[in-house]
Amino acid sequence: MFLKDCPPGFQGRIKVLKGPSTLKRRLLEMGLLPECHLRVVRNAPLRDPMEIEIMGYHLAIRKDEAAYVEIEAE
Amino acid sequence: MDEVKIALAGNPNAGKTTIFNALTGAKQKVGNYPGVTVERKEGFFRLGDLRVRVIDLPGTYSLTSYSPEEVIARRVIVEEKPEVVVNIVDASNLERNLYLTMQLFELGVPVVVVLNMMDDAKKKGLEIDVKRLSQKLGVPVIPMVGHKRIGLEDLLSTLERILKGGVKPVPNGVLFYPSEVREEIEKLEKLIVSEAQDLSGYPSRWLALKALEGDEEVLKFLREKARLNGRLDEVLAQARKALKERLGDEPESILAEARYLSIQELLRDVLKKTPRKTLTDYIDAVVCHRILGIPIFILVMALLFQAVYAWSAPFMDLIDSFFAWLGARVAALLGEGLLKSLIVDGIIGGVGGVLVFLPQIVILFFLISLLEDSGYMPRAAFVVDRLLKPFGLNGKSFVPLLSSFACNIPGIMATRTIENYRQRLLTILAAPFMSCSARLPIYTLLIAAFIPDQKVFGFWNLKGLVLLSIYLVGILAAVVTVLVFRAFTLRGEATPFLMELPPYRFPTLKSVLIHMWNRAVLYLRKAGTVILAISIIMWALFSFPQNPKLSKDYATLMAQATTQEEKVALANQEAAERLAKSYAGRFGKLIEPVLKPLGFDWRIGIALTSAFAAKEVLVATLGQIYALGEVGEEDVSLLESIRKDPIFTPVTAIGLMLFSLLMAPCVAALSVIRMETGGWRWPAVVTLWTLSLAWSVTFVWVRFVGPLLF
Repeated sequence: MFLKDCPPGFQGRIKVLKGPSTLKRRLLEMGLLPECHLRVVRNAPLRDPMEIEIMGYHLAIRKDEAAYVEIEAE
Repeated sequence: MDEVKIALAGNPNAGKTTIFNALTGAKQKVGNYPGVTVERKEGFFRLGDLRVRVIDLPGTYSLTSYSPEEVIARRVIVEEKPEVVVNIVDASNLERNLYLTMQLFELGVPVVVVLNMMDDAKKKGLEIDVKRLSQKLGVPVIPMVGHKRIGLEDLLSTLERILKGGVKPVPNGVLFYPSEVREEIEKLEKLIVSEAQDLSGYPSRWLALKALEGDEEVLKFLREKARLNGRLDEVLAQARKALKERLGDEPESILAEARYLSIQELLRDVLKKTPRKTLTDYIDAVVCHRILGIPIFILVMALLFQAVYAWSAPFMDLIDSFFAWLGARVAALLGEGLLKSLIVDGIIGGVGGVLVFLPQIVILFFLISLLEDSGYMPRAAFVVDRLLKPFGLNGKSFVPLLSSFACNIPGIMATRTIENYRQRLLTILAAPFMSCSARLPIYTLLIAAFIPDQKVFGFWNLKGLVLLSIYLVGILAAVVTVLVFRAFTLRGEATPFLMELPPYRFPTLKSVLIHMWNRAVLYLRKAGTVILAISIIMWALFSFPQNPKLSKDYATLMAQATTQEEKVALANQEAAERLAKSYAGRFGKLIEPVLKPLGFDWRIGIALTSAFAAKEVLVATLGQIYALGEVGEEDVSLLESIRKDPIFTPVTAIGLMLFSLLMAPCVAALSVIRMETGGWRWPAVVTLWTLSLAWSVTFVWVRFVGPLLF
């Protein structure tokens, strides 16, 4: 399952980051680390981007990028 | 007095600016790093008999080479060699903020860590063992609440101890890389140490690490300056292959994970969490709400626009009338002549032209600071991002573009809130097409003169429809511009849009005022001087040569004139003829062949030339050309005269509106673009691009589309 498909309120763990290495690095820098716990807070009013909570802070991420984050529910 | 240098580094939203303001007060210098749209902020403060220069580095999450901000941050750290790097860390978001700290440690520079916003951390239910953290890191850690100046004394005394005692806080070895990675780093470092010609002060271990990470800047440096060829690529390729085989991933991911793992280990017995809901969660539930989010956004933007557009108007009028009054007084004092003309029309007019924008800049930045410091700005970007995404922009471009409808100048300056370089430049390129309020008089005049008062589809007023279409054409031109520049020159990988939504905070008046003040000073100093110079040049073009050969002897005729009306008519005729024979008039004739295909003649050429000084001047120039003396957009006689002129038809009138909408922005806006982009290159590009676009669009309208409709 990928982050972009997760509904608000969803909680899960990051499995793998896919996609080009520059994107991967940016995601890592912002704390999207494999094994890390995250929660989907909400979608923006126009459905995109989405707000997630990770490492104790809130991050807006577009669905385009969220498509590269593979998640497992917990 | 001895001077020492320190630098502030930290994530965006970590409260770097608050600490910077607390340290330096209003003694700040804001400018740009040469050649890029990255802001350079410096300030001073005294520490006993030391004068401390503080460089506020651009806020970054990391120190890679993917954005100009990051490259500049590390360049300043390595090349300007500050005695200490003060790393501002958001205590309420410790884990991710320490990621930058780890990279500062990799650089091997002396670091002092400031745990800012301890109050927020507490509200979030975080407990931090500061002493333990300091022990583990091996550098001083100072808890602070920047906006309340809590902990400032502690920071100052720590800095004093370090700067005077000369004992540099060097971090403990808290960073753990997997042994496989360490091996490869060592191999690379050996190669660099033994073969490099010149390391320019960069630590060899860091260079090795960054080379392994595939850092473009460092690789370029190693190849070109350190003259490391051939072998470097070979060793690197081997290292990457070995790591892929043994750890199953690219070095950049392995290193990023290693940094975070080190942080987790570091925080294991330092940070205790009992998460609770904060005020921010409740506010966001409303502000980013599925249904309420957009109405709230529209309301805030409407207020912002209203403020810039309407609240500034009385002040602008005041400035305007002050300079008009001053001009009249000085004119009366000096009497007719060249000196009067230079001082009144050139200098006083020019200074007035600079100052008149100040109310808009001040009001806009007051409100932007409020929105930014309170935390609403990222929410606004979050809400509206989806609309800008198709054009390769992101939510942060919205406020600058909206402000540009009031005036391009504050709009372009507002792009400073966009961290990403490419996005920022694209927004600057799009801004001039937002039809600013100075263009409105042109439309009002031409619409009043040529667009019949009739209804379209039975209910829509044609005049209003034309005005609306003009604004829409501007937006369309902005979209085309962004798409073209993104496709051709500002190419490169799309930068992912990852934006932190920091907790809401009460903005402090002090930081809002400092921000506002910095913008005003920057505008006056950097843009003001250029605007003034160009205004004087424009004046000269319109006033020289001084004594052209005139067709009639106006002085004699004037003496013979009996009625006041006759005299006025004669004076106006003389002014019109002088204008035609001035350099500007000759320039108008010179460019006439280019304008001919658009249905314009040399007189419109003059008017358009004058619009470079400020768009609304076009109306006044038309007035002069039609020998009417001073006119405004509602002047009935100007309406009558242009109506009678065969060159104007509804089609050419709309053509002229289109041309003045799309042609290069005024000199004030151009010089602000120069200020923001750090050189003449982009203003030149903007001028050429907008002129070509204006010409092409007007041509298509006048030749093909217009005749079908009118």
